Amino acid sequence: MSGCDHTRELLGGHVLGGLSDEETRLVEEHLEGCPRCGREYAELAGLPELLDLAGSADTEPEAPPQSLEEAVLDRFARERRGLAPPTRMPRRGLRVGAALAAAAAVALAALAIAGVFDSERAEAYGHVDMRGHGGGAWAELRSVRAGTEMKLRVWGLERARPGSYDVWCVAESGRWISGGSFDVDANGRAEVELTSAARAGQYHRMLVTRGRKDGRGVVLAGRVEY
Amino acid sequence: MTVSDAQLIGRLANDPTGEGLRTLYRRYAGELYGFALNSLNDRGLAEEVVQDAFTSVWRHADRFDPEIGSFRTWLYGLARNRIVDMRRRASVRPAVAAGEEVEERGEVDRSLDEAMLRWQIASALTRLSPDHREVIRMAHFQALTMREIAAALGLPLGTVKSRSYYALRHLRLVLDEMEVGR
Ligand SMILES: [Zn+2]
Repeated sequence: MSGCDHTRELLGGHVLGGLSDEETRLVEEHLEGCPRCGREYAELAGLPELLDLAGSADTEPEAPPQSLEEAVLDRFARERRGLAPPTRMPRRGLRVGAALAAAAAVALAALAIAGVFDSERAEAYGHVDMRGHGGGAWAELRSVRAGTEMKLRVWGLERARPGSYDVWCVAESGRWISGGSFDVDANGRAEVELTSAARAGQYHRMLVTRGRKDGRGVVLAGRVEY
Repeated sequence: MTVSDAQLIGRLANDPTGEGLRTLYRRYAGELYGFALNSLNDRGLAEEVVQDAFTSVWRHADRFDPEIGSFRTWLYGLARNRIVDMRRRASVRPAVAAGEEVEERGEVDRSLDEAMLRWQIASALTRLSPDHREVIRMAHFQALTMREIAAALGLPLGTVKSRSYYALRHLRLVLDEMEVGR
């Protein structure tokens, strides 16, 4: 066994400080005279110090909740929806001056932001009746570019801190796709239009949660009727 | 073939489905969340950091320049700003003098860098095989010698030595991927 091979075999133990005195001496002697092994050692030598930072070899990192992914994509879809160019351009015909065209563009952009271009067409593709905890909700579902727009009517829910109630579309896989959040008035009612990234056919259940964004927070649930 | 981060960002502007963003999210959200949680010790705030960082990604996709740094570096920078922000807001301790405030900011920066590093090492370790993690646990954290480990695991001494070497090499490789300097 050449000096290099032997040194490589001991290098891990050397860096981790687990060799016998005799082995340590052999490795150190070789490293002094061998730049190649010296470079290899230099790559690993800083690891113990880094390991000390971790404090343990088994800190299991906590994963973010599944709902976060949907929340991120949902916000993206909403902004996209707001910023997306209109699907149809105004009809050709009158020649308009540059200023007028610009004004028209601004007006179109405003319409796009208001969601007019998304909601003006599609018929409802389904609805859902959610029940629980002495309250209920009914939603009409229609396809828009960003996914699904839901017209939601809620009653009988307790007044809660702003942003406490969330709507979810539950995919076949069990994944929760956010439908956004809403607040109820003093009578426990709400009437809102929300958008979810979920698409028709992708999900078959809808939920409303309060506070917690998981199974324990569910206050209303229902099956989607397509 | 894997699509690069830079390619995905380039496509964000014309990505109606959000699939590109989802890919980026799945690549980085886990470690970013861990970093935020480690720094803030609050799940709700950590979620907010991740969401805000990714929001900045698509809003300012044009500011990302792969020539300057990797997507990971950029993303962590975005998250870092948000964390510093939150910590500042959360801190109720009034600064006695302006000098102290400056010092505190440096301290926050340092502790954040350390939190990030600590988090990266911990998460790199979880990417090693159980065998590799075990030998590092025993040799480094329990300060056992190669001989003691061999006896404890009932393995030939040569196996423990080469396993230690490959465990460290693999750890170095994972850290290189995470851009943790040497
Ligand atoms: Zn050598």
